[in-house]
Amino acid sequence: MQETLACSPHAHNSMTVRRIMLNVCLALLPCTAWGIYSYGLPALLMLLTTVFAAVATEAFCLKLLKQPLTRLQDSSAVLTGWLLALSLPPWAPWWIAVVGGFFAIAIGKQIYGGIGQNLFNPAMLARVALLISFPLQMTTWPLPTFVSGYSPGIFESFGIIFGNTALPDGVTGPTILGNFNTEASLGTSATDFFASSFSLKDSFFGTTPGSLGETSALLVLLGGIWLIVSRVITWHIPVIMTLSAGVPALLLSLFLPEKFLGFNFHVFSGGLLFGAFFIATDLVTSPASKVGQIIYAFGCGFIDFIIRVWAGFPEGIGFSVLFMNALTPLIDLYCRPKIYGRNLNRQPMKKNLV
Amino acid sequence: MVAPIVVLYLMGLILGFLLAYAAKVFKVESNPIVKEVEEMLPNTHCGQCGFAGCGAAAEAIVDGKADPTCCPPGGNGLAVKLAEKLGISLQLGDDAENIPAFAIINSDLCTGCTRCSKVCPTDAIVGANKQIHGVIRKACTGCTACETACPEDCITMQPDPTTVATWTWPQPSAA
Amino acid sequence: MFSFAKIKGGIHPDENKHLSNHKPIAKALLPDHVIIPLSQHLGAPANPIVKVGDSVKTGQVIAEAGGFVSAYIHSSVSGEVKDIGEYPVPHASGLKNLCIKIKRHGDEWHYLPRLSLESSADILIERLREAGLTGMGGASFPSNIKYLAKDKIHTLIVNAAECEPYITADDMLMRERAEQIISGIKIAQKILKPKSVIIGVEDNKTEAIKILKKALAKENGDKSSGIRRVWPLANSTTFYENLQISLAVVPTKYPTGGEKQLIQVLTGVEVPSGELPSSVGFLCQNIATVAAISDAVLEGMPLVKRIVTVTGRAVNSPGNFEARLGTPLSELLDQAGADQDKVSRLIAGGPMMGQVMKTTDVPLVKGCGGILALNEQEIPQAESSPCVKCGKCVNACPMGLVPLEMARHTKYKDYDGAVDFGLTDCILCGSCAYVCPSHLPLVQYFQFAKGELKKQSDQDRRLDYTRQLSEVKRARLKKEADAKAAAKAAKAKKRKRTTNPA
Repeated sequence: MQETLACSPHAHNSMTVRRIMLNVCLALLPCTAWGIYSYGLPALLMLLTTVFAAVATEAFCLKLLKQPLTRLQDSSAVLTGWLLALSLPPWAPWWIAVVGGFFAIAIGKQIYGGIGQNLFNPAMLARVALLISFPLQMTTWPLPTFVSGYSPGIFESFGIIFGNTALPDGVTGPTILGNFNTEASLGTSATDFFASSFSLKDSFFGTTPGSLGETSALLVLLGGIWLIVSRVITWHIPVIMTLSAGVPALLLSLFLPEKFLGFNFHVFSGGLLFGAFFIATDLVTSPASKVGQIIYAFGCGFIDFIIRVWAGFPEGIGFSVLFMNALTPLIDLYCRPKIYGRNLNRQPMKKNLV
Repeated sequence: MVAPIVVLYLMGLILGFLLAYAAKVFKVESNPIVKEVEEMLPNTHCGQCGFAGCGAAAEAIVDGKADPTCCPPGGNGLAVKLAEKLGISLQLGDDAENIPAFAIINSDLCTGCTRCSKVCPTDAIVGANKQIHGVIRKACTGCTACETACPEDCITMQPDPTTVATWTWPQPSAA
Repeated sequence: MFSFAKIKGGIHPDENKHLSNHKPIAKALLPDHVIIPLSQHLGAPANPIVKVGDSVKTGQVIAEAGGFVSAYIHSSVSGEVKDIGEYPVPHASGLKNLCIKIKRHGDEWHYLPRLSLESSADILIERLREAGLTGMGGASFPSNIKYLAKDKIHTLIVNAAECEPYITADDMLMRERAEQIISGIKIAQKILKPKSVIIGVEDNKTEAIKILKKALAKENGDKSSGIRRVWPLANSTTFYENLQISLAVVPTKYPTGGEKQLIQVLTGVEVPSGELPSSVGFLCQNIATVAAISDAVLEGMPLVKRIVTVTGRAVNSPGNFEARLGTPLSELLDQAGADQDKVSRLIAGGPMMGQVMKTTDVPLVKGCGGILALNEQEIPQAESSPCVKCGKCVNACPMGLVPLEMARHTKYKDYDGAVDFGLTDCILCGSCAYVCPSHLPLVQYFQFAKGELKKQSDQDRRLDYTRQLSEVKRARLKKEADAKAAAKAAKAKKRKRTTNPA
């Protein structure tokens, strides 16, 4: 009747890594579904290719490292591939998807020693690597099919992703963030741009061009709230990260409205919300303690804002998250909780009769 | 082009000679670390390490001829400290090899010759002449000196058994 | 509105208290034989004072305290001492330890003389010692030692939180023996003369709270009880002025019943690391011990029985039993209708901190409040996988430690690193392992690391001792040699003098 040696506790809340990962996948469903609806079959093909590449790489690495293939069951590779796909341009060619999936798993995760050991968020690492290596493909944004009126059929879809089918004119356009950077360099004031080109409704519901899963702020929020409700993440990282990009934007736009765009623009366009709920909250690469998470989230949001406003890239989530990932071990080292019965210097408290 | 080469060459030469000179002038005759290591050892001169006394063992350990784990009475704790002191990496043996043992005297055979108590480095064996001897378990280091000294072959070494008081949890095997 | 000071972290495991708290406490059948371990308490084992073949009465001392921190042990039945030897004891190792086995012939009691509240504090403390009282909440610290620090104590905390899931022994005790508890507290008040007494109960024990309040109000007399802020307490604290006792109802959360956590939640004070609660003027006593104090003083009854919850889903009629110490667990399980085929894990204690028993032959001891026979569905099954650094353990830890780092350093045998992240402050409550999505055996890592550290320090101490002994021996040999040489020299001189007549 007895097993060998079992240590207490003899109870568990029955949460597993696999369940966490699947919960995140579930939370990704609304914005994924919207992305596929917006960008049609090619987007679905791209998503599947990325996920397949990620899982295949994971299996290959596990084999190479002589680890049980049952480790695949934790679904972390599926999630990594999925997250990467959602942050790519929806009609990215197959080799972008494959290189990305491979890079995310092999270089982003397994090279560090597998799950739990990686320093950087694998999906963001792959995205940034792709962005630097293939800037053209990574900034070709198709318009949603219901905007451009061009919805590719099955053969065309395969052609776009796996072949060399050239896109017809007028089906691509800039993202709103990229658009502003161009306009600003031409001398358009932020006020004019805001009035002419930005629509909160479009950004909120997701009818502007952008990465596969990032366009609709509403659906990203929906998934994010599910994550908080199902206790996979806490509110700290997403809320603080959003505010630390949004509040500086708000303040600057109040004082210099001609040069800076405001809160709504920065929060609801681009990948900020997606990054705040799904990328920065990655368990492995974010700090473990609450205080650490707050510092980390602030860094992610604020650096993203700086990159958007002053740097050459229109979007900075990938860079800001990777930068803060690099600081995470340091943050973890210094932001430890206060130990019961010890003061903040971790020395035993003084005995005094209260 | 030529000037810097010459300058660097000369500098290297001069500094090299300086180093050689310093090595001769400030030469330290004996290794002070041997003394420190000797002080860390139990100084029972029990000989379990295979050297003649703790001084010889200290020399051997410092010279790298003996492992820091060679001292059974010191155990792993001492080995770790020695390795730290000497800045060498440590290959901790299996616990099976390091099981602490203590001597047991078979009272049926003991004649009370006191030979064992004379060789015991820690005075762990009590008993006067012609009286049956006993071992104070707390003081016995398991050095086997008495085992060899006993003319009646009545001393055996027994491993210290694990009891409820000394049992500790094993390392988890899982990931 | 005041609120409780909060404990850090903590968890809300399934309580499963409903299994065993709807039936009155049953008297367990007297066993045919009892096996009484000599080491049921913290500190040195007791020394047996009976021989095989002696006949003993219930309540008679059979072993004396083996040191300052140790406890008396009494026979829990009357009969004949059959054996003094090694038997399996309730310990995680599953090893045997020295026990006294007594065959029961009846139940004839031997009481200590009765004392009353008029007795002096010293006599009362001595009584706690004579009665073999130890803490009954799990740690089994000898009670009289706690009370010896009486001059430092300003607050007595009665721990009735019972935060371990499944276990309802204290709950049922409060429901059925509220008066006994109050008289126990009065005795403790007499010894300690504390400024305040706080009973801490978790709010999931509504029935017990109701009964305890009624009893306290009755005892308190006509003077109406009021709400008073003794410490930064919540408004769910009732203060009984004539009795000088407060009843605090605290939110249910594991491990509120931990000594340090309960002090924190009731008063906001933290016990300094490495110190006992008495260092900041607190004495924390389990409510079952308080009831036992009443028995020991007023009835002259030594600690020979206790209330134990026998529960789990492999048990058909779980409930609480008042059983004699030394009763084999198998007998209690039989009386609760345990289905041996369904039992996949037998635990002495609660599910969070209890230890697995390898056999049902082990006896009931003073610190055991629960016997759990869990079926396959009740125990965690998932295999462990690598840590994903999610930090859930950090948030769950009531002590503010970083369990994932402690485990990582332990894994690579860097125990100093583990200590740096808080290993020495770990109370092994298991909250971290409960929430770990990777199902890592975190508590075992910490148990292992603590064991290794203990071994290391033992070895160091032994090495010092050995060194000391050898120095003594060498000094002695030298002295002897010197003396010999001196004697020889003197002899030679004498001989010289005699052979050289003037």
